[in-house]
Amino acid sequence: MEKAMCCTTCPSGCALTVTVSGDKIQQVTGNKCKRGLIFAEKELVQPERMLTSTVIAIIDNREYCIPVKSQKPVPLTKMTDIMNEIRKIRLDKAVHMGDVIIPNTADSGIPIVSCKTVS
Amino acid sequence: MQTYHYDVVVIGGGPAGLGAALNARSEGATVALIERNDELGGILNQCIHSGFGLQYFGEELTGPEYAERFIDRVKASDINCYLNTMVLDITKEKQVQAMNEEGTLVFEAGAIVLAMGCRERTRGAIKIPGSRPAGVYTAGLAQRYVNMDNKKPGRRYVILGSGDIGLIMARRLTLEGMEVAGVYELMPYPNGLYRNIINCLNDFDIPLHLSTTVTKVIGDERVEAVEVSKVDEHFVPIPGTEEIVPCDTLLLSVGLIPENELSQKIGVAMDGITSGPIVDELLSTNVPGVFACGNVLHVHDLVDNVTLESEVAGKAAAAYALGKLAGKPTEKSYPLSPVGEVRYTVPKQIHKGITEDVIVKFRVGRPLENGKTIITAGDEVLYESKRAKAYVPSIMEEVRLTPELVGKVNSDIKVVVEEV
Repeated sequence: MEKAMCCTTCPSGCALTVTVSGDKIQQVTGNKCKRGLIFAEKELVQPERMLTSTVIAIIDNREYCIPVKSQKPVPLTKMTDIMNEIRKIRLDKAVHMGDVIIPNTADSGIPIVSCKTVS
Repeated sequence: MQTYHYDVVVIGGGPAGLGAALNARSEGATVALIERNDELGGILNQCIHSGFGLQYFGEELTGPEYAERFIDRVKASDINCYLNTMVLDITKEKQVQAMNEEGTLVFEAGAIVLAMGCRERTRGAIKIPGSRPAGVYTAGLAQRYVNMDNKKPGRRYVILGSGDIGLIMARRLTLEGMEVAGVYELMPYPNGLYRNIINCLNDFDIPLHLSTTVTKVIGDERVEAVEVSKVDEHFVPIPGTEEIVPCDTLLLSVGLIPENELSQKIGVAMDGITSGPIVDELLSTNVPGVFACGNVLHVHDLVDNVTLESEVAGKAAAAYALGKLAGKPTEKSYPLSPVGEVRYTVPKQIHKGITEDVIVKFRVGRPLENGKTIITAGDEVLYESKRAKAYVPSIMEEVRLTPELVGKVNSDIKVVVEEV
């Protein structure tokens, strides 16, 4: 079976074609360096992505959408759970870029942090 | 009426304006930065996804984070920012007329940097037949509603066009619990970056239909469905291939148009392909002292490239205003022409006797599996790629030419991408 992937290790964004039999990688083509192989391995076992969304903050009676992100890539399979947690958050005071909004989201060990300073 | 005097006036506070203002200031110019919105950062504020800054900062940032890094630098400087201020007119004498809550402002500038960015193409611009119900949005407008105003434009979407904004919205809407029926693309290849096809569509099983377009919008008060059709190699819909796709919202991600109404008022010469000003290696337009950078000049693929470009424009504008661009008018300039698969180049002319490297940027008109870039001036080969590689229209190509190479130029410069 062939699987299309995009290596996101660096800005080159190599288009990988990964030939898989069972759960083993037979061949990887399209990568310009060996980091593509490492990416393909990980992608096959547990794909991870950066997750970004917004949380609502009400500061001085004005509603803001505060952009947030996972500090590191999170497992693709946890995205729905994380989105459900993010959706429940309501902030009521100023935030700074980098502030932790959820310390350990959906038991992933990864925090959700603010991407913007709103005061 | 208030009158202000600045060495450099930058119009637009998005990534291009921020970069230009900072570099003009660090060259010693006094700088005004004029922004019509109530905050700096431009479109980055609504681009909450990550993938920005990999080149410029060597780390992956979201749009708001990328913007905040520059906004912090501007705030720490003595650049004067005029928010909620709309530029109404500019003159060849480099007078900028603007308006805000306090009334009319006039800026007398030594140099102007045009950094107004671009706007989205609309349904009118691509002429889709059908009724005129509510529920047709450009993808960027929907992005603003969802990411900044906490509003959902609809429940079930069809996205026309596979530009990056459309792809990113497909993922964003899905994550927010809305349904995306599919993305339809007129061309036989996707228009967005490959990583977005994989990470925004494939991850969420959203189908991408190539060589297919929306041929009718159906609905009375609100969109009820769209009719889609396959197109032939001339992009003409093929009768008999029509299909009805139920949806309540149609998003258009069908291209961006540089916003050059102000530039044209003062006779800035425009490039028919980019819809942006024709510029030289310092990003100077044909109007002396008026420079352009960012998406107002040509639509970019990555914001990192906008920043790098804006730094050139900011520095050159400061040098012009401070009288340090000595010698340039007497140097001969040579035009660059795109040849073969190359659609356009920025800059479009290079002066001989340049003292700093010039980055020649261009895009191809169609995907090439294996191509090579060759830049020549008469018999002189200025550049030739060492290895063949794939070229796609969604990625902007760059070649760096040194002053030494440009010194060898004695005739028109040709930029070619050849299939190998």
